[in-house]
Amino acid sequence: MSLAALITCLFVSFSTFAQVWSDTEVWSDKKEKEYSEWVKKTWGKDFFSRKSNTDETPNIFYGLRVDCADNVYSTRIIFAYLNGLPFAMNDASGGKKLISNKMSRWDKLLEKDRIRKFLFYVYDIVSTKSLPNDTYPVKVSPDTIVPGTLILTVELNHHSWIIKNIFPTGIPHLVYNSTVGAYSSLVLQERKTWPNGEWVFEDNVTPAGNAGVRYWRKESELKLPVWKVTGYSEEQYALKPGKWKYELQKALQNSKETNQQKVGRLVENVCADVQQRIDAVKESEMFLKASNYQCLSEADFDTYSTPSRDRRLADEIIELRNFIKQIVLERTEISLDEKTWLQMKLLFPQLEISIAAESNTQKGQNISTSSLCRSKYFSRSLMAEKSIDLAEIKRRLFTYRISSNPNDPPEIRFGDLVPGYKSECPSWGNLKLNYVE
Amino acid sequence: MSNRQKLLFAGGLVFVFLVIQFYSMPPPATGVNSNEISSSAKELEKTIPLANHGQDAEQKPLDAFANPSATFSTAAKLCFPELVGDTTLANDFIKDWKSLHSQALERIDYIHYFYKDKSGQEWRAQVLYNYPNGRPTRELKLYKVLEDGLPDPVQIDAKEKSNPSDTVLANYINFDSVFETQKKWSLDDGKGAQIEVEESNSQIIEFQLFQDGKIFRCHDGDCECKK
Repeated sequence: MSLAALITCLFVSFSTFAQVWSDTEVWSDKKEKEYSEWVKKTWGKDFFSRKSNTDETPNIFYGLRVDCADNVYSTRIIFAYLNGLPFAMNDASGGKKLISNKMSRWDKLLEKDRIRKFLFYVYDIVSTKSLPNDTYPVKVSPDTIVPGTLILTVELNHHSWIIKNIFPTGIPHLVYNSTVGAYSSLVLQERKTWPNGEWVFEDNVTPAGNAGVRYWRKESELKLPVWKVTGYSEEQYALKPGKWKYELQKALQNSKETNQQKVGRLVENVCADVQQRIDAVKESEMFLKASNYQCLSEADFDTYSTPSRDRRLADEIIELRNFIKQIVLERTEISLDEKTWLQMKLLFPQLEISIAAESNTQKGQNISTSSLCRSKYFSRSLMAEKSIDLAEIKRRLFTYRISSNPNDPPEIRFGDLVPGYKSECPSWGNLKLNYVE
Repeated sequence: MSNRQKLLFAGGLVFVFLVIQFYSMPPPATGVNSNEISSSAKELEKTIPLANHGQDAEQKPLDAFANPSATFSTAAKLCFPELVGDTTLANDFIKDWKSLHSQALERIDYIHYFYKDKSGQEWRAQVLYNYPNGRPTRELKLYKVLEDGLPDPVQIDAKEKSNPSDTVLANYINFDSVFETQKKWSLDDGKGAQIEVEESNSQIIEFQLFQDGKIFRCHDGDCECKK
């Protein structure tokens, strides 16, 4: 017995049960502020696509492919790792123990490999379903909605964003990603606007929907019901979804965005969405080509279909249109320069009617110097790229010509009229665009 | 000094300390009762009954709700006196509420199955419910539970992972040996009343009811009514 105990002690003392990383610091208000500053300065769309850091050291996180929830968890885990802080989260598989940096599964690896393995492990386990158990909804104030906070939609729309920054105008800079496929880029996505509250809180505006702006729980509060977590607030659920983003902007702004600035920002967001759609369609075309244009399986169909993204694009265009309408109603047209007015007139020639009616009567036009978001999309039938601008995308989107169906060839995805075309492949779910004007 | 060397040095110090401790320990006491189980372990056995995968099996209520703390009854009577009546159990309350809202749309969020294979290895299967483009689909995730008590993801065929049939689920999950089933679901009556429930082995662990501008919620027997 005594010899066995001695041998056991010898084994234990000489083993290297290395944690993923050792936490030598503790979370405090100061560390939370540092986290916020770090997200603001360091987190960006190239975080996983740049091969080296600003100090030219190799980026050990290069090449990680993340979806929307992975992106959110990564900010917290990576900051904790880089700063010797602990990280813990609930076990999304239902177990009672916490998943944390103290795990020693990868103790035979070097530290930089352990952190990558840990991240892969977390990505396998987490999703937007697990985020509510590791976070809590915050009060609407400049002290609580800061860089590093996250936004979560209801589970129906299963999406999340990290807030990288809040501009003085009360507008956020969001970094996020969508579903990851085999050909997804390493570059994350970004936008400078609040998401549409109707979409964030769709079908559940109660606290149990878990939607809205949220922050990370302390480790000691991970097992509490969310309403007992320090800082928990139901303020956001008292706001009407249609007003949610405007109330947040108002609460967080300390300078007013000029009309010109706002139009510029909204146009930038729409153009970013258009480019993201072009990339998404390109990605699904690569996947289709690799599989010899076989019909997609249900899982791949979900990965490559774009109804949510198309809905977001529609929302962004509507937001821009509604703002222009407001300017006209308030007779403050002078607040926009002539070039911007020309662009808006091309895009929205009949503000007095609905966007659908306007799009129906709008004629297709050639690209001109007043065109916005000039882009190119691939046509499989022509084996060539075709040009398009925002006015044409908008016209096709609101006349239901744009297709979210990933089995369709790219030209159909972008609304080309191909007489007699009919998809022979099965389709799942309701892909019809629905929006609130 | 590298991290590995530091660890080895620390390990060496620990070894020396343990050796000293070992040789200064008194001999073990005699007459230890090997059948004695700590009171906390006994409590654990009472509160987590074995899962019965039969849907109509009667389950004994958890102690927390069977002998409810004053908070459940107090909160329930404060929020919904017309609904609670003489009910003192969350399970009964939820059952009654469901029957009053039989037309409500039920949505499952997930079901977790905890089971053991023939060799006694513990596994967990997560069946996640998603609603892409408005239609319900399931996603299967499988985990082996390792010695540290934490899950180890097991890769499964993409075709079987996505929207698996009951047959496929039965190929992976040994339903005969399921000892815990966790489920999260919600009901929305479309008229402003919504309930979200988490249960383990059919016993309510947590729920939140939103109705008539009030929130009635409980977690492990600790309840509140918010108006």
